[in-house]
Amino acid sequence: MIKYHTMKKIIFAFFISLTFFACRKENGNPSWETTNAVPLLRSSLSIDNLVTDSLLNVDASGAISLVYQNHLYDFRLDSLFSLFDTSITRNYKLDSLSLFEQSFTYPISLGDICNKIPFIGPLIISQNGNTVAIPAFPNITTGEQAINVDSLFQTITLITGFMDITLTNGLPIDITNLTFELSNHSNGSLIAIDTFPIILAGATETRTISLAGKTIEGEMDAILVLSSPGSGGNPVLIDTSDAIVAQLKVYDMHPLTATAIWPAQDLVNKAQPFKLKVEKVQLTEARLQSGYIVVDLYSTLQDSVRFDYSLPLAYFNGVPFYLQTILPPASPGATSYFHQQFDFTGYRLDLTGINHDTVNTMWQNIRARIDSTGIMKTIALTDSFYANIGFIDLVPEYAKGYLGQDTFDINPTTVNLDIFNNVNADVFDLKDVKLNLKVNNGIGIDGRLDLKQLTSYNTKKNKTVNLSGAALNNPFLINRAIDPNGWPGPVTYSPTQLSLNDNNSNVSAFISNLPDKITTAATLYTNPQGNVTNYNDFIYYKDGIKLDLDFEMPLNFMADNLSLCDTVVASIKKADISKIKSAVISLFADNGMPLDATLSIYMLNSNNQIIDSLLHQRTIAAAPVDNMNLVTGKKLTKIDIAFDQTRMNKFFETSYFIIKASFTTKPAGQHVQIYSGYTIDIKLTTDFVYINN
Amino acid sequence: MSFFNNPICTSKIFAAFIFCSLTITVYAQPLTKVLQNDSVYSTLYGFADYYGAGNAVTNKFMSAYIKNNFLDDELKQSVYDNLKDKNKLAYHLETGIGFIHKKNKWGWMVQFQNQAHSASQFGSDLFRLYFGGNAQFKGETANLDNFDFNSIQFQSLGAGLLYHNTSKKIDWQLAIMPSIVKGQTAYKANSDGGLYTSSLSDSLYFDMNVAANFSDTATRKFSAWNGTGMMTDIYFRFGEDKNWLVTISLTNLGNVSWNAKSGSLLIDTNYAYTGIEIANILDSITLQINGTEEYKNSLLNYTTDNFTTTLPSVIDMMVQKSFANDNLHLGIGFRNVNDKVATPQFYFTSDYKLSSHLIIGANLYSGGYKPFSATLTARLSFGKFFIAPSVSFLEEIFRGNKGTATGAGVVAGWRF
Repeated sequence: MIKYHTMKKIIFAFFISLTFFACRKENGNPSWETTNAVPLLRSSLSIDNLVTDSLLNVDASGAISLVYQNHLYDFRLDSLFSLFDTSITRNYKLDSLSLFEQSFTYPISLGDICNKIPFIGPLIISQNGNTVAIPAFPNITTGEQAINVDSLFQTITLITGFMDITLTNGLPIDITNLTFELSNHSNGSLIAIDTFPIILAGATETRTISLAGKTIEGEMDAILVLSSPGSGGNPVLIDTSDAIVAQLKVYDMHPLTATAIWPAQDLVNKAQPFKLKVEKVQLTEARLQSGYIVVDLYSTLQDSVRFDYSLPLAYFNGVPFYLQTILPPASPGATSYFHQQFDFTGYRLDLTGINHDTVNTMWQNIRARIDSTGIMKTIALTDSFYANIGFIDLVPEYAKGYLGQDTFDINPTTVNLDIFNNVNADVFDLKDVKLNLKVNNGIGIDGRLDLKQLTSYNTKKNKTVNLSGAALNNPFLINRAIDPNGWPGPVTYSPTQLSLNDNNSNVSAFISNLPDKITTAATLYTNPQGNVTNYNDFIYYKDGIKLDLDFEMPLNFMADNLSLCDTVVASIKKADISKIKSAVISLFADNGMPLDATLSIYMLNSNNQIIDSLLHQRTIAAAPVDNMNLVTGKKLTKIDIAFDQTRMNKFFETSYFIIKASFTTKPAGQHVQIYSGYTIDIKLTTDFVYINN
Repeated sequence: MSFFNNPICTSKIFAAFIFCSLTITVYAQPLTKVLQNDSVYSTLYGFADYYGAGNAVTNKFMSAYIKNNFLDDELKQSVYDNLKDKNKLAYHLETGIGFIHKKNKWGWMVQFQNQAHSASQFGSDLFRLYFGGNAQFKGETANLDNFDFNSIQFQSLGAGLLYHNTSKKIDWQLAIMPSIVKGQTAYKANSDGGLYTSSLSDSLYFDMNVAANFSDTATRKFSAWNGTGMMTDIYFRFGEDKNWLVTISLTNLGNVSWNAKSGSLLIDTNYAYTGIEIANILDSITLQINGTEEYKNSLLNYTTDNFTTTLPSVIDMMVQKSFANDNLHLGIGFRNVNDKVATPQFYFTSDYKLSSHLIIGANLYSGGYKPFSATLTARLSFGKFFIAPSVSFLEEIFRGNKGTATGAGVVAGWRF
């Protein structure tokens, strides 16, 4: 209508106005009415317009079947198992401490000894350089000889440790009954004491003394008490610088605590298995699509601690997880702390343990060490590390192993069936409906499904039909999916189907109920035969067990008042219709279907309130049919819709149209088949009175 | 002495010649009305003429249209009854002032003139379609052929010479006045086509071929100078005093070239419209009510370029005979307006001198833009001043709603 008018305005107004414009008054315009006849729209309605969301099947004869699929239930990985958060907390005491091996010597010369021997001693000294006989002397003490090694340690309290006392007799005479005594200088506490019965001239004697439980200080005193039989009257060369050399060597010291310069050493070095927390399943491998590892470390050591942590069986692109960090020195009486979270997405977890002989098992290596710094620090075996390793929100993308033998109850689950949403009927009778229940298994487990309930609900009519029949009495087995290439798949689904028809069930009644909801209840048994694959079950997160319903409904039916109701969004651009005085819209329906169609069209405003009707209960007559109920031609029906200004205004206010159509098959009481070529051709035209000015 | 100045009139003669007139007609040539036979004179004159004529559109219809009234069915029907295959409607307006000075045989003149002229031809169906809509054509094709339209408005400034030979029994005058023309507006268009409306109104088929030119539409006021041209007016008359007179005039001989901003429009299209096709009427419905733009591009081929139009030249030839001691003049004439629409016009003219101050007359016309029309004329003289009004309304009285013939004019002058 408007397009035609536009066309007129462009062409005729231009030229006719040329003829007249020069004569007119400048202000205002003359006005007149024209009655125009214009086509509005045309369309063709076929069955696929009337029944939406469907797949139409057309056989060789053109007969239409309606194929519809609806998803009923999904059984997925998270229904089967979860990887729970796992936390490994360890308090590591220091395995041991070790200190540098220490060695120090001090000599006691003949001169020093002679000075301790009254009368004879000075005489011997006076013969220095001469050859004389040295007489015997008893129990000569050297007095306290200071040994100062406090540049190496200040104090050491040993759990274990040893000291070798090596005495080399550089004198020309034998030494007998030599007693060596070592004590801390500060309090005189004895560290070690030992007696050498005889040390021949020029000979060396060594004694090993355990220092276990001893506390050694950096400043010590040593006392030697010795006797000698002298040279036996034989003259010997007197050299007062000849000496008894004492060498002290402390080694294998494992202190309980020490304030010392420490050598580099491992304080902790552990390799430990731990179990991932999972339920009911025994996994040998998992690949993560998300998750985190959180590492918390604490140390009481007053030294920097180098910390190495690895998960040798957790790989990302083939590289095991490895963390190295340095904990700073703790303040005395306090702890130092380290915290970090790592994304575990994409990791592959080998859960067979270090020997690949178990399940659900991870492995971790933890090592703590100090470096040699040359700085004196106090470390005790009572110092410790505290490590908390947490695996959080692990979501597997893939898992392998034995996925368990379990029973899952699928509680009554209701899904909407939208194919008949807008359909109602007083009488509706279908024939030859075929319905398939399909289980499509994408998990590498066997299963068995016991169908407990399948009910169609027509909530508009409050009518229920339970699917029943011999075909439903036997549970059907679900075969496992195949993963021919392993991760990342794809898997080959294993379909299992239960086919229902009029011979083995009441499926036609089930669908003729025009259900808008279907309720399903079942029990799923997994791995009813147990671990038949030797830990080779598998599951992908994206794949599961899908339960679908599809049916094929030949459009061969008998219906009385089969009603379709649809709400259509209308986007009508507001136009100035003040120049349209009135209009009659004519609907020409050329019906090629063996159905009487009674139409009602209502206009709704944006609040979904009906503001007027375009049509109310106007009938489009059915196409004529032959004795086989096949359509032989089309039947034209004209319906006029009158518009005045008020109704036109309502039309432009319309936000929605409610279209109600009810169909009754003709001839009455007989089944008719709908063919693909059956259409209703629709044309809308209008005669409208337009006010020109 | 001019026959304009012959005295004497009577009431009987007035009654007898009420439908007759001297040559003062609507769409007349003003110079012929101010030329004198005196040897010496000077005249300052002005004139204004309006004339509308058509062979189908009625006066009432035109009146309602011009007054911006509502055109009801009765009005439209009155036109429908007159419609033929080809219908004409024309309009002419001219105003101007001039000065003429003559001394002995020679004289000179200057004149400024403003003219607007339009003439159109249209078919019956086009008019019916435009004013009645296409519903009346269901199952038929509305024939839109033979539309032609020309309209021009221009101003001219001319200067000319006059020669008056009085040496023989037959005296003659010749005046030639070339003018420069300022073109104000021009429109010309012609088209053929048809619109078919199916009987169910479910399809329209539109076929249209149009060629049109128009001057620069940006400036259309009186001051607009959109084109430039030249024209010449030629006046020639000869006769025997108080006996007979032949007058020949050729006016508006020339053309105008319109500037390069002028528009040219070519439309050659046919268009079938069967409504908006909707694949699925049950899906959301979107109606776009405003669809003007999509047609502009598909229908129109618009360019700008200069073009030339021929001025609506007029040839007028008249023979008059004096009676009643030169108080009564009867004549016949031929006129043709060169505007593609007008047909040759033949007319009968008469005037009678009622007194030395008043001459009245009447003219009857056949041809031009309609089969029949008539005017009443008069000439009043008061010393050096004269005025010659004319009106055209008689057709409405005698023939009713048979066409349009409205007009009025006046020529006034001051003779020195």
